Amino acid sequence: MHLGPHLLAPTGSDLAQYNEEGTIFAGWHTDLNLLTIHGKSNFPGLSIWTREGSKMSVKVPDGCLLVQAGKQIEYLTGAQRSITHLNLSPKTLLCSVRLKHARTRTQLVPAYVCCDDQGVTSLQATTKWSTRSSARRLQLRPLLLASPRGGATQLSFNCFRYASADFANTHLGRP
Amino acid sequence: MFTTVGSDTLLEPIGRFREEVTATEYPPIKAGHQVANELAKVGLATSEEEGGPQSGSKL
Repeated sequence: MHLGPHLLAPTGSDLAQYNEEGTIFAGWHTDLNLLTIHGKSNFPGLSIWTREGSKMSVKVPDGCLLVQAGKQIEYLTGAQRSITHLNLSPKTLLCSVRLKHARTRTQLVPAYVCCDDQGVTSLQATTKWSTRSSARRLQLRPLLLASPRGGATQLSFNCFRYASADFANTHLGRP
Repeated sequence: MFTTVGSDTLLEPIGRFREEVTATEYPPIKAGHQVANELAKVGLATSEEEGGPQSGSKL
């Protein structure tokens, strides 16, 4: 289908079949989409490359999501040449988003992202965070692209860079 | 969960990012073409079939 909506499937791994130590389920890669949101996995193995160029294992803190920037974010922000040319890593970790109302019984429903000619202020990424009894909204926007006139510009600016080693160690380092 | 820009939406630096010195490296391209180009790089599609110009072509 020409330019039709496309489906990006998450990866899955059959640990009953592929269980040799050192097996790589998803090697070094970038995501071609806008954002990839990782929940907390039951299994370790996620690695990131920091902007200093070092690889490190990470964990997602309880009650947090890991938000990864894809190629489309690179387009929208005119990513710095140094990032792409240094070829350090996949577009990495943006930040972890703490969920204030996380419940055991939770469900992520598909996010929608829209962008039009109005520019940065119209870019929205909204995820509904649903519980059995109620639906709560997790507004990702302030962490992604804040309005140039808004107060969160610096935060969003930092989010586009690779996670620094300090950031990763503080927020994602394994104990 | 994967989120993506709509296929017919033009990808290009927005807002203050238009002023970045690297903005010229990201000429406008429809998201659908960008995805097709990415798939072509790993042999899952051809840009000709998808009708998508390689990145760098202005739509």
